[in-house]
Amino acid sequence: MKFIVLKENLCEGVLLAEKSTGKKTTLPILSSILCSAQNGKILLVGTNLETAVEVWVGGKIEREGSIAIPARVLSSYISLVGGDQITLSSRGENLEVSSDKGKTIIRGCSTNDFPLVPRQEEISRFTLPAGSLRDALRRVVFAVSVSDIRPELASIFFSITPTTTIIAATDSFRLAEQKIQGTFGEKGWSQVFLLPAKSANDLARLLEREEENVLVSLGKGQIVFSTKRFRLTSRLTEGSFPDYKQIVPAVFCTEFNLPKDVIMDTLRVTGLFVSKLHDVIFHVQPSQKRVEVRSANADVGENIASLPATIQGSELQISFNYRYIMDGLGQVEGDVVFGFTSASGPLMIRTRDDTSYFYVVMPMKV
Amino acid sequence: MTNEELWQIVLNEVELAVSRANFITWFKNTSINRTAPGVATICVPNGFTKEWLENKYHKLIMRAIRTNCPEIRSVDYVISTLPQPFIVEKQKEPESVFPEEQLEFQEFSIDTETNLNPRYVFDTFIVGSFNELAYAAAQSVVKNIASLYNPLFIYGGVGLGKTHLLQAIGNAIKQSNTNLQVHYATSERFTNDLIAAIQSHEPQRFKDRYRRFDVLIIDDIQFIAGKTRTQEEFFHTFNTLYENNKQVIFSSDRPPKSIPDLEERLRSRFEAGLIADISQPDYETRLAILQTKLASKKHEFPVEILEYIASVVEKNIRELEGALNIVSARAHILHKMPDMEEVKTLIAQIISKPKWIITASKIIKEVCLFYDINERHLFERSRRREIVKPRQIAMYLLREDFRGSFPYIGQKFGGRDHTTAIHAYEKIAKNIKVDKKLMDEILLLRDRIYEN
Repeated sequence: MKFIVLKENLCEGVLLAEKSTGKKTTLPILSSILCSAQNGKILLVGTNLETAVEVWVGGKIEREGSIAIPARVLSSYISLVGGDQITLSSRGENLEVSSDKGKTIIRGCSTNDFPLVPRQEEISRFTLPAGSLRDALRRVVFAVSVSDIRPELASIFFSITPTTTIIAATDSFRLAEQKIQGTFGEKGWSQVFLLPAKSANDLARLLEREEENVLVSLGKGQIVFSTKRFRLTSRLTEGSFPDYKQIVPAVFCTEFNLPKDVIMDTLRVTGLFVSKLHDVIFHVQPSQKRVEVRSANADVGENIASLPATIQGSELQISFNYRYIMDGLGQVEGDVVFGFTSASGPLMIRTRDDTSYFYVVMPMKV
Repeated sequence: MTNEELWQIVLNEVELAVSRANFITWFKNTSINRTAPGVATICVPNGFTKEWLENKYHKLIMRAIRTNCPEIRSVDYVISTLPQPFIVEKQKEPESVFPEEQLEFQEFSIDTETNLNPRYVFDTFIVGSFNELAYAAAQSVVKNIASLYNPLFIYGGVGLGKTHLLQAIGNAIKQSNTNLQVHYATSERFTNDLIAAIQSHEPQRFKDRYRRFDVLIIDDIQFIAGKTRTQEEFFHTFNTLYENNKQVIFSSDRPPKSIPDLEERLRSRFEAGLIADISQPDYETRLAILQTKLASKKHEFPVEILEYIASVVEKNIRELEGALNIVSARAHILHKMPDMEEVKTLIAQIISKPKWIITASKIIKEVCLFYDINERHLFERSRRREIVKPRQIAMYLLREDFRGSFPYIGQKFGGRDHTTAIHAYEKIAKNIKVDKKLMDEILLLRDRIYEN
């Protein structure tokens, strides 16, 4: 195998493929990247047996062939080394990298043991706008469950109808949902599936600089996202996502809105004084036209901040996990609406005049 | 040779031929199935394994299978959807999450198929004299589905554990036999499903949906009162299930005969099985409930505070829990246990105390309405039975709920002696302990009196 590429292009490809390689696995080859030059295409593959990422890199092929190279060595090397054009060639189980700045030999291994990317038996195919998909994933993925005990909660929920795509995530303490409008399929068609959170993160990263459409191929238990630059194959989570529509509040007992910057700056200060439980107390006082935010830590100190606001509804005192509130605030823009349902019920955070996104979080008991 | 034995032999052979790492990676969580003669299906956990076995180890596997089981001619590979219990690695809960303090979306723990909440089990159900009949009935229904008590009808006041018991039955049945189709629905859900089915012109789907269950549990059945179409549909569903020997379980806040606007044919069906009631827990049970709740929260409380809570919150286990939560939240904020005075003020906020807003005339009016007698008769010196009982009940309520003195009560009822009032009070107080029907009447009366 021998090919010449621009260092920039190769570097980008290697970094994308490296993220999907296996770490701490029984099979050492999973921590390698498969590098192949075949049929006029230079391909980098990384897999951890849950997802596989194939990235195409533009370049000139001089001799076909393939080799597997330890991902960490390759990525660290390629991001540090200078040079503009580099030539990669295989010599037995070694990879030789040469440029006008010098020559390097990296020990690789035979590709015989490298896992094959499963073929896709397609059931349905559609396209999603790459930019919107990436933003949507970023805006919900933080709400997934970090534990694997309930796999459906450690996954992102996709519900696609001809005109709307809904992407949602929840860890049962909070819930984030983003809607994307567009044309996705024929009338009467719909798809529902669960994408593991790790794959969703990989996908968002792969879509970093994509603005066109992503082709989605849905199979039984497996999904493939592809563009001109890459193809991501992931397993799907089995099981069904909880019917979360019933917990999305529609009626609020207390509501106020504040500019995002104002409330975030205030909360950052309050956040310095939260206790080990990370609890901040919101005291909404309609009669005084203000919202009081309090936190206290026996070892650090206390903070009370008061924000003038126009409030609809009744007085309320309620406490939340500081991090959960900040997570949600980070996803909304401009004028932010806080809708409370009761002292022990969920809080909804959303941007005013934007119905495509919302975040719902449960309070704490204290 | 069983499938497991065959696969074990194959695995032993394969293990010798491939490296340890490869063997663990590719043969973990695999199994074999013989579906058709001559065909073996190998179940693999994911697409990667399928691809790898098909392309790299197929010959090896085929050879190993054929030596042990020559009649097999072909092998195919499928991604198995069976849950793999041992690949679920138990992860550490993140430190930031304090399940005790952070509230969850309750609805999420509900099983989407059975609609049951796994939180409700028999183990956490506290049995006392007030609910032992209902509990025993529930237990026997679990053991004798659709044969002993069908339908089972459980009734009792708000927050006394009806839903807990009903869901526990469902969970226990589901646990003992996963093949049985168990479904829990509130009567509101049932009605909504029916309306949705009618709106989308698919009434048949609704029928099919509810008639395929082996165990149907309907909570708060009293809400179908007055809804003619729902009652009709429910009647047919019930009949179908009953005829097919399926278990049906109901709960209600009152016995079938006291549900107003209920069609006679439904009422008689509700009464056909076993009717069990849950009455109010006694002081000892309330204390036991508090202690159990505390144990599950891993908190410690002084005994006198528990005793106080148990003594003042009498009628509702949910309120009992609420009182406990308030005190424990308070203790958490202050980092010390509140003293008795504080506990008293805290509890005072939540216990419903409608007693001082009622009036003597309200009690008398409601008693007369309830027994359909003229108010005038109550004050006469009549000894007719239909008058004596309401009069005694009115006296009892005036004493018990209004806290009127005996001479006052006697005076009120046409200048009777205070001993008459004492006698009436004691008689009713004694009788309600033994006479179920009387107890129900008084409960219903109280509902009416405190309604506004």
